[in-house]
Amino acid sequence: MQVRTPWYRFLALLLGLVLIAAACGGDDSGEAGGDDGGTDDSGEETTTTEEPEGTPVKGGELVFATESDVATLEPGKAAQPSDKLITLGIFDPLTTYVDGEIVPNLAESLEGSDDLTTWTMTLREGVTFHDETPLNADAVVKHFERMVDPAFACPCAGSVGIIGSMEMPDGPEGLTVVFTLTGPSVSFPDLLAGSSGYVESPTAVAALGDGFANAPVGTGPFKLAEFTPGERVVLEAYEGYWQTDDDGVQLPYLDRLTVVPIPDSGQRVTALQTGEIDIFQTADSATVASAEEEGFAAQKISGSSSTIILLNNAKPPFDDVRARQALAYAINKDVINDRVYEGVREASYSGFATDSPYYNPDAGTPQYDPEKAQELVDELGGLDFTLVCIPTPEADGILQLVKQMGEQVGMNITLETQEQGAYVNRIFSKNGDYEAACFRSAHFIEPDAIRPGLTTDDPGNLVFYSNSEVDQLLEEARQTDDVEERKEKYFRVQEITGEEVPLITSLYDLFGNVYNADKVGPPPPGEPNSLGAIKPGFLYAVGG
Amino acid sequence: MQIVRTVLERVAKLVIVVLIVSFLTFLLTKLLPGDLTATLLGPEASNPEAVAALEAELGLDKPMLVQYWDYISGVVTDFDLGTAYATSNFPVKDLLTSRLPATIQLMLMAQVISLAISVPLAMLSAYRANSLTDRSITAGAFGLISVPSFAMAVFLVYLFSLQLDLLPALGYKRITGPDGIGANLRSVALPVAVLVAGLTAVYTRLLRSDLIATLQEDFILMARSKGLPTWHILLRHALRPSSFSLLTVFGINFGSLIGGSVILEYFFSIPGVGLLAVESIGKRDYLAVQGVVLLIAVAFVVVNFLVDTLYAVLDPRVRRAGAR
Repeated sequence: MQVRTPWYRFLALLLGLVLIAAACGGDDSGEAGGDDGGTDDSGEETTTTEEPEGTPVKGGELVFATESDVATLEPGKAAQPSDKLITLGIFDPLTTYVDGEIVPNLAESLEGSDDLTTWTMTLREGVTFHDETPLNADAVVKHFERMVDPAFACPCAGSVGIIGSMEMPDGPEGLTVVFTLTGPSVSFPDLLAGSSGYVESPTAVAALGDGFANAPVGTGPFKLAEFTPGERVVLEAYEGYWQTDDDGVQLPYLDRLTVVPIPDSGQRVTALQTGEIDIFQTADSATVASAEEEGFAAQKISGSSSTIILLNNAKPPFDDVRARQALAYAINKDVINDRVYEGVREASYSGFATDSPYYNPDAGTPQYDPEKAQELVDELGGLDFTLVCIPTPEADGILQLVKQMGEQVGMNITLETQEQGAYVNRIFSKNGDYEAACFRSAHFIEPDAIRPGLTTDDPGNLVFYSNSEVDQLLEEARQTDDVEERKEKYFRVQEITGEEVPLITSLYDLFGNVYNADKVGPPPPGEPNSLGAIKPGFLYAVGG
Repeated sequence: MQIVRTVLERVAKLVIVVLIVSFLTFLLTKLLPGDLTATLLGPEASNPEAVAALEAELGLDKPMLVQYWDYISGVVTDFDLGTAYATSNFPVKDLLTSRLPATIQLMLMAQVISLAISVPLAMLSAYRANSLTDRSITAGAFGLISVPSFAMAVFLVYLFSLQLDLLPALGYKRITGPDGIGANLRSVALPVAVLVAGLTAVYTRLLRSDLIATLQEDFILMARSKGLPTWHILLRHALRPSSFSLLTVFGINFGSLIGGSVILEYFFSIPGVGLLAVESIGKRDYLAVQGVVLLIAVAFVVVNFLVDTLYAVLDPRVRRAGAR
């Protein structure tokens, strides 16, 4: 029996803290294989998804397999991919991302004041919860009060805590809520796009108490029809759902969606072959590759996080920019991709996903160039360092390859592994007790998420990087919601970090939805911040 | 009266054993690296106020012995095993009762079928010791013992699900489900087959060697010289005195199978007790872990009690020893 701490806990720790601008990636803890998820809601990860094609048809049912059983279906708490998939069916977030842009969703509009501290939300009219309770200001206010209630113990309490007070100018039955934040926040709409923004039925919460977690009631496209932990969750179309697709077809497309956990990765592919399931989600690159070999279709969702190598900028040898550049030039990410990830991942040269509007493709981040690496090493008169990571097969594979690549250009690399808990404490303790270390970092649509990781003396700056121009640019960029102005500043930050290499991003993590194209239409794009989960309301069966 | 006293003494011992096990489990779950508050709170776990509030909510701020007392008294008085906080707040009792049917069905079917196969095989083998039949059976059993269950599972799935398309590759259909007992039996066919292969091999070898020893005894020679038919000798005279090792192992297997065959439940995605244990440990859902371990402990203890009682039925000497 294998038991390990899920890496998402550490991914979760990282969010809000971390990283990157120019290049940088790592690995904190190894592939979860079965159990991933867990990001907070302070920012949304960006994702790259293949565009769906084909015409959706209404009707039919599908069986969707997940890697792990449900942990929770509560708003604010749902984080791992299986929980996300189901809750995205039962609930609607107040805002959502469409093609990388944030738009109101369950809210009809959300307007910020000039100083970004007061936000006025108007809700959609005529929306009802599955128990026929109407969606109104009262429901929204009760929702956020519940999220910060210590007894509810929400991982989102810190990020939702930015709401200082809420007012209902049209009364509780009205549709307007005015949020006064504790300080200016350009990322408030982004907060509402994650599970913190899923509004639950206040009637059901009052009636069920703690039992709401296993009988959730939302406004989403599906009602929960059956929930047997470890066995299955059955979702049935909610006939009173408010949303239609662009052609005016009533959502959801499916009449029924059954979600089953299949922990064994090989068995997920087998079940797809025997027709016992129609589609499954996975974080395991090898599974995606083997399913494709069997002739199944795979929707690959990349860019929500990546593996990175942290470099200690405050201490020799990586206090010298040439040493950091040398290592960046020495690493061939394609080889890591082929040897460790069956070639299905994508090399990462930025702290942003490639489809983020803030991603600067011309930042000049070092690409594989062994000759330049060799020159720099010669100039330095050699480069000796210790690279530390946790002992997982994934990390081991990366470490061995980096060692080989470094030694080919004259570096001398010592490898060290340390048990995960102690390792994470060591990196987070900020006493700088490392030279180079692997880690995993999340990427967000909201670009301010990179600020702590690069700001001088910020607790989230794990690499001890310091550049006053970067500090200033990042601070200015969060004072405005003007996209063009922000873009300019983040592009400049990426140019600087591309030159100075505070850390090295390695490869974007890959999440896959593997499906039988004879039975399932191309899935909708991956949700931001959801580790590959999709909105099931837009999933359709071929032929209905 | 003597019998009643013996039984009562044993029951008292059983209760003590279960209490000790439950306390040790309680301690163990506290020693697991990682904790429930961190799992539930995620990034908020760095906020001491949030941790304190949650600990108070879950009763984790009380002294350890008080926590144990609250737990065990809840179990005894209301059969309340607590709430599985990391599994959508389901009561642990409900989780266990929803997981038990699959595990119990696998266990019973595997035990009964393997016994039904191994007893005749062992008798055939022992009666014709060292014949070609015996050597084939012994070698076959040895082969089956050597194959790990997961390898057997992969092979059977490949053959019966992917190639022949006869049986489902995974999942569990409840008898009460819409497709009834047929679908139920088909869904458990492969995991039961894997269990049966392993158990049959062990039972056959055990019973065969005990039977061979028994068949050397004088009373068997006596029976033969009286001209009794072979089947009569094997069944009525040799089987009973040869079945002690078999019975012991058979009983222990009941206990261990109630914990679920973790590997098989994982591989076949069967919502049984073993899979619940794995999931709960992964999520640090310590009350669910405690519930599973308590269930296994009680099952072991009860089965061992029954086996001890059966010894007395099988062997008059045990009965007489008890009466002394």
